[in-house]
Amino acid sequence: MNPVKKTETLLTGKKAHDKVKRGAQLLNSFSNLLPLLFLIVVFMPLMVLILDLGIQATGGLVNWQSWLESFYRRWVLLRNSINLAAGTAAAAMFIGLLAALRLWPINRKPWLYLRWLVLMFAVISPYMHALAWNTLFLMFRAILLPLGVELTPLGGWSGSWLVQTMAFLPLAVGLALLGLETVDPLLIEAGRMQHPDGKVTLKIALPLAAPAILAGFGFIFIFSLLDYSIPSLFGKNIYALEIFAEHSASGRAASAFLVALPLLLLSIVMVYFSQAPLREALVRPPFKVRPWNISPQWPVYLSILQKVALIILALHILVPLVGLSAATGSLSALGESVKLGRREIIFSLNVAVSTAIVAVPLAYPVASVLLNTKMRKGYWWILTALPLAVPAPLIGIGLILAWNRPLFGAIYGSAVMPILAALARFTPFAVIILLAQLKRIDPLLIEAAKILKRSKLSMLFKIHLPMLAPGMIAAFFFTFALTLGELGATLIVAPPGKATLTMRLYNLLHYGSTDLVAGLCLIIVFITALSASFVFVFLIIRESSRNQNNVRKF
Amino acid sequence: MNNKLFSKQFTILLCLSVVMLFTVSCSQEETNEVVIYTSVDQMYSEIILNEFEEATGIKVLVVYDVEATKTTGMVNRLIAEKARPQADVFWNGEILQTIRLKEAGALTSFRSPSADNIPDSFKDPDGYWVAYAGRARIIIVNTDLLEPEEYPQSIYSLLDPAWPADKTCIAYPMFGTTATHAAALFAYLGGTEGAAFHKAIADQGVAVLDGNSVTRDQVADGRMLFGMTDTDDACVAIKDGKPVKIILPDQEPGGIGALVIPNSIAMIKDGPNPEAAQILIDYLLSETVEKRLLEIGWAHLPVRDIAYTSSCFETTGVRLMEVDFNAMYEQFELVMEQMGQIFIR
Repeated sequence: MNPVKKTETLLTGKKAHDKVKRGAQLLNSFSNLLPLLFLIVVFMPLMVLILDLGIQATGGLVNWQSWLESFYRRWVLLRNSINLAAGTAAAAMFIGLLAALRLWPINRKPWLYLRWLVLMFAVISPYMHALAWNTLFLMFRAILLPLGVELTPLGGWSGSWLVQTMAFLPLAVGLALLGLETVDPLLIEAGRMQHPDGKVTLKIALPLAAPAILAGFGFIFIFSLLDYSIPSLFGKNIYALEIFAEHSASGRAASAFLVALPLLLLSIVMVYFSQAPLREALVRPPFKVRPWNISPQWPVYLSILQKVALIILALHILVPLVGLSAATGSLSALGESVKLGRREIIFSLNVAVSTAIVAVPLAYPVASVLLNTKMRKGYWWILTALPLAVPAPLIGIGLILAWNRPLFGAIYGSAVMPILAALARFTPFAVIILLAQLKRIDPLLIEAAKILKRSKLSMLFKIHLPMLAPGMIAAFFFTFALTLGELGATLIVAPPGKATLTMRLYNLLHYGSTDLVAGLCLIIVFITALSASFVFVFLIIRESSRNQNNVRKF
Repeated sequence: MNNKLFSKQFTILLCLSVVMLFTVSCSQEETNEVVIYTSVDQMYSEIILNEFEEATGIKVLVVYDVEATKTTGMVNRLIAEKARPQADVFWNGEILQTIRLKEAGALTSFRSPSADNIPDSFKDPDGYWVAYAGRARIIIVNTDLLEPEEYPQSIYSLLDPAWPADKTCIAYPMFGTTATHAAALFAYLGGTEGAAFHKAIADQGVAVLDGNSVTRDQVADGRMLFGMTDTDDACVAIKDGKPVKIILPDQEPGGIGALVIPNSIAMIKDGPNPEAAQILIDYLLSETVEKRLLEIGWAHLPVRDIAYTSSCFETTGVRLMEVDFNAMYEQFELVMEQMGQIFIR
């Protein structure tokens, strides 16, 4: 080669290299700022509420006397709420664990992936469960009444407990399964050589999975604590309702936030004790082998209990589907629901997809921090999980206080606000999912890529992201599905002229259009199922292509 | 390599542009539009607002409220947005929350020629709101479970030991029109008697339900004998052929009478489209729209002299509860605090 040309080529190469280096440096600095961005988006509503409370308190606008007068009554409410939440979480985790024990030994594909499909039903809101169970109850009542049998109405604490348990059951199954999957298969197989399967399960599997199961209990406890909709539908009052009553009476977000503080503190305590075992469960690298290569022989009592749990799980899935289908009546009624809610369906899809797209890159750096930071992991974990404990309407009001300013004129009042509301509520879920996936990336592969690849940018797109893809897709799906069902915060920040499917649904609910309400509920379930199917099809195709590659290599 | 790198930067730039375009397009404002926040059920308000769009060509952007959020959403949103309002008009299905907005400084005074023939008692003396098109608080009765001679005739029937208390119901008195009714009873009966009435309801174990529509459904399904709700909710059940009947409470001579809760219209202070807001307010307050609200079933008791016969209950010769809305509002926060203490425990 001509020496001049060679020098030019070398210079061009050097320039390109410098550019790549600068790009990588820029990307690095940007990456360092991303956890901060997470804090701004997710914590801004909470921070603004705390600030507002401080201003109102120093300005003498907080009615401390009334707060103290109501102390005992609120304590009783809180105690009732804790009882219901503990009962719900215990029942859901118990049934969930039994069902998970049955699903755990499944090793054949695609069932290995499909068993996680149960999580899809976690997005059906407790209120929808209540409607479905009530519809079913009324149907039975109507059938049995002419025969002289009068069913006791579904209601009170028992009704609240039953419906909440059913509503949180998919989450319980998912978390219990996650816990069981952290048990070393080699320990199970070693135990099986000496003892029967039942004893191995009780003496080895359950103690090892217990921390993650207890963490699951903690999360369901928090969700139950915040859900006032079921108890108030069944005529029982819990502490979360008091927050709404205070907000309604005073019209001041600060006063409502003050009432919400005990729930928040309780949630912090719960998250603090739950975070370590759940984090351990999430960040444990996957085992190379699967447990239960030979199908387990459960003792009769455990086998019966597992079957009962699976029947309850099946009921949990079937009752909403059958109840809602029966209430919808016909396909034409379903078509009418689609026609009536088409604008809301489009807007909801836009919001849910946009939220999911933003949530994944927003969650990624926090997941990295949780994975890599040696110190203060616990604080980061609390910061991640805390937004889950803030009542949705307060997040909405916090968003108004934060974003309704001249500087953000283009954002406030636009479709960006419901996206910000959903991000504030659901990005923590994306963090948790991505954290689990990050740990599954083999560090040796990253090291090898560092040697072979020239730029960090190229490594990011060609190595890191494809390996992270399953977690990203799962995080995308979860955020998407949860956003689709969001109401409390979206209602407060929805732009004029736009409404989500859930808002339409609750409007129709008030009007008593049972068929249209049920139809819209079915549409939400259908959209969720469709998006979940994409995730599982992706995972199955990815796995089969990986297997084919392995065969070729062999 | 250069091209490859450039294409990546271009892609990033393109993505940013799309995001910016999206943001800008979202914030683009049409000049010929008006923003209304309404707590009136979407099924009814949508009809009226669509008709307004057709009649004037002004695009209406609506924010609806939802009963499930305990009606805290919309008014608190308007108060929170006070510094930079998004809304032009507030159309409330009741009146006290509108007065709260006035007190919070979120409203501006206006004058509408359409309101000229509305009695002064339904207008704010300072011109911040106008009320019309009333709904009544009524007793909804299950006709399969009760004989006509047994029908309750008073709100005090809720305290009558002749009925099993857990088979009679009201919605939470801290929210919605049940809260307005509670405030009205406090104003009418006095604080002590008003509190005693509500405490007796709680003590006797009357079922306190999650909203007026749930009250209607429980009575219509036969799970309750009777309950207190609004005329619009009850009329939906009658229209659906449910075995229910509407009873206007306390109609005997000298009785308390039935509480009529009017819709109220207000203009938001410093709203973005004041001219269009005025046109919409004039339209909503017109006699034609009041009549239309009666026809579609949202309201049942006009404040003007409008010839109207309801298909779900007798609207002539109704004895109304005499209340002063401003007096009701003055003790509203205190009443709500008491309601919370009595019913949330």
